[in-house]
Amino acid sequence: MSHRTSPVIPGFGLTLGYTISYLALIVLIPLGAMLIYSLQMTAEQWWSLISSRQVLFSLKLSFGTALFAALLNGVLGTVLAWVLVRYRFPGRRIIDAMVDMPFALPTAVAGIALTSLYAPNGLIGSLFPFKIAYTPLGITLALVFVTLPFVVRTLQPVLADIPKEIEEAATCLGARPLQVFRHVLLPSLLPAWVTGFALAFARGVGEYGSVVFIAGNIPLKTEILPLLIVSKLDQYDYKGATGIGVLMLAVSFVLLLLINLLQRRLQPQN
Amino acid sequence: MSIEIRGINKHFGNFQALKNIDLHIRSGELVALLGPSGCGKTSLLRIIAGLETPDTGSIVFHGEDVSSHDVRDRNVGFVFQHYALFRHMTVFDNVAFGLRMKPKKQRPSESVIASKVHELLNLVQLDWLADRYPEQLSGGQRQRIALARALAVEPKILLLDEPFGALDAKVRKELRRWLARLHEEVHLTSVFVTHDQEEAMEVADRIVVMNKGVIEQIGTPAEVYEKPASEFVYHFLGDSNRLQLAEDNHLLFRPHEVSLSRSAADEHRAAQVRDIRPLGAITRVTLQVDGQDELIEAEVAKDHGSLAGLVRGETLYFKPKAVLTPSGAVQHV
Repeated sequence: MSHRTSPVIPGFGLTLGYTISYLALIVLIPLGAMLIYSLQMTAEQWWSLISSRQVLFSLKLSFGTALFAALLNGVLGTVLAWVLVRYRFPGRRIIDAMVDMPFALPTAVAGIALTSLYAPNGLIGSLFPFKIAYTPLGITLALVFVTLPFVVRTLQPVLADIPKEIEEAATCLGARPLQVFRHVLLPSLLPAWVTGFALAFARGVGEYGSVVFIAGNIPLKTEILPLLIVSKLDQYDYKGATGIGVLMLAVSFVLLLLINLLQRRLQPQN
Repeated sequence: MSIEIRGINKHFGNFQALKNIDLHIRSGELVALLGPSGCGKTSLLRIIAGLETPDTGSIVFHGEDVSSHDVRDRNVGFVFQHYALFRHMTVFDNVAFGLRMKPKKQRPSESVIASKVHELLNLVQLDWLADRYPEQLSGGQRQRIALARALAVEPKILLLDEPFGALDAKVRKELRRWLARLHEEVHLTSVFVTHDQEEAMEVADRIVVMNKGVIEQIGTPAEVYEKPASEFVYHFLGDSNRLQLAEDNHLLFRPHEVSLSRSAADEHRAAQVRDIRPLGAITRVTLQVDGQDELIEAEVAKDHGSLAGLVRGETLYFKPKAVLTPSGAVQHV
């Protein structure tokens, strides 16, 4: 165990104790309670619940759309962060502030706004030959909106920290722009990028408020897992709801653990 | 490879960084661009490299106009003040970078790259650090690695932007002697930017003194020191004293170009001793002359006869031995 003494923050014992009790009250106890509650089901009951077609479909839909949205934001967010850090243009501060809007806006408002815009007869939706709202594409769109800030905000400080000289040095050594990006910028950005991606992905998996409006919630078509939990609760099927909750928790935990391991490998040295 | 700089002008917004710069750098020469911060020396270096585009004027390398050439086609090595090493790469990978980025057809094999990298690391005497990361190196080591990295692509011209500016005084001294020796060996046309006149004097074949976007003087270290083209050059290349003779007439002279005497002597002026500072081989005496607020500094060998038993408040007689005449030349008197 390593504990460094800090002159500013009170001692190790006090801070660790605070950290653990805080985490326990806010995170561990609610999660633990859910796990304990789910023990009312037998293993077979749980298995048959999660292997039902409806749950399996929603599982794929939830994780698939969240993954796709996180990847999309991984690309778009990187471009956005790049522009905000590297260029000075009128309105930059306004755009910078707007990046946080999805955090501040109630997700239901966002969901309703996106639905009315992208519905087949909506302002934007009518321009497309295919349906956007009420399809997995619509769900992805809502998730892209909600998780936009994660990649941008994790990359911004890292990008700002890479001096322009690094790029100039690479250029002087004969590297083409794509090579500079691939061999110089990307390796420095990747750990932060993975963090942003993981945050966006985790948030996307659990997102409910914005998705319910744009999804249409058609079973086996656009029904996401969190919605399935809520509908179970509406039918007073608390055990079923908890069972699905445990499933989501397990899958998310495994995925986030893998991402963390990947990230550790990306750090060049310690 | 020679460098010809013709009629370069550069504005940043309303600020004119460079005004009509003309400069010829001979093949194999080591030239220092010397001046205070904001004088345009770094802008000029970046324009030579192609990192900055001039408003007007052209850059010619060995008879070929490269003004429209991209940075990476100019084949220059550039060394940055803060090293600009790639943090996520080992020292070896940093030095190998330029070779690995070459188009497939020109790219040497990994074994050729490896031997080339080790050759360069030996040249900068740091082969034993090949597997380290830049963060694990000292500032002086980092700058030598940056130099090896720049040399790896066999540039025709080496450009260095305040290469020793971020290092502490002792390392700086070592490294600039080392650079001068390296230049003797490699004989690459080199231009380096500095604000430190001692550094320029010690390393460069020729010094280009710049001020406010114009070249004040071009010459060998001895020339710019002995025959400064302007008061600015005189001031910039060393400490100077100003002795008021009449209302509109004054003399400029260096602290070490002064004769001191304890008793009244021919042409010597009386002054009161304000401070005595032993500085190792020399001792600096600060003098106050009647009729002038500005103090006069005199530097003499520490065993100089006039210093024996000297205390503050005593009267000392001094005479400048060499002064800058209004016509610009340093005159020995």
